[in-house]
Amino acid sequence: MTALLLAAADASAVAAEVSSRTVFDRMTLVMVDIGIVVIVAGMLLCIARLLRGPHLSDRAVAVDTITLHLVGLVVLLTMRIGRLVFFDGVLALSLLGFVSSVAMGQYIIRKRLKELHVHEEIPTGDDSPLAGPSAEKGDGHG
Amino acid sequence: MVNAIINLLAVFFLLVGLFFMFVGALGVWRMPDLYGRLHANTKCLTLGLIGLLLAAMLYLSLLEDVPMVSVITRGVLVIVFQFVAAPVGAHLLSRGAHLDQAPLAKETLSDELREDLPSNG
Repeated sequence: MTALLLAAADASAVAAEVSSRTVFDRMTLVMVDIGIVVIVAGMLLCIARLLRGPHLSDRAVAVDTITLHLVGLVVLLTMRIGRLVFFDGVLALSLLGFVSSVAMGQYIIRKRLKELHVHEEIPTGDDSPLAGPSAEKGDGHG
Repeated sequence: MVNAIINLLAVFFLLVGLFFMFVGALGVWRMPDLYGRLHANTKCLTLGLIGLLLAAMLYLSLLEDVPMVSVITRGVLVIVFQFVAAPVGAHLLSRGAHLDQAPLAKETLSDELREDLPSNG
């Protein structure tokens, strides 16, 4: 982990002196720096919603939003250091955000599963072996 | 010349993406209801990620030693995955919150799902 960070720092120095030659490249890098500040401000707003949200699903939405902002932050970091070291993190983080929101949805719903009648028998036709005990009453122990 | 054009395009997409990301976070903070926050989360952040990834693809094509096939593949994959996964996650969260009777905004006029489904409380 430390080696990776040191390698990224070294790559940042190399990329900075290579790509700062054009004034337009420097303008883009300045915009990337401003973008990092804007995304961190967005994360702070989401943290405020995470603290306040009256319901659990508000907090789930806030966490999902923070994860997607983190994806944007990794993209800006990749533009900043000019190497593709961290770029696989965007896919992993977006997967993580999606799975976390699905898991939170399942967790929120778990008290109400009985009302949804989820655990009853699967309704099928009469001659199916899954039809339940009432269909096999005459044949089972005859 | 090409450098200038690609850099200006990258800055344009970066600004568009940043605008939508910030508006998405602002929407999550300021919306009065869970469902409004889900709107801000899915739609705004998907557009914001598209802008940011396009800016990254444009800018990284100018640097040397960067395999562009890898960048474009990963970027397009993230965008496609985000288009597919964000509605699914939002649907599951909103269904769970509706079953759990999350508080609605006081400006709400009608809740048709509550009238339609017999399993809701």
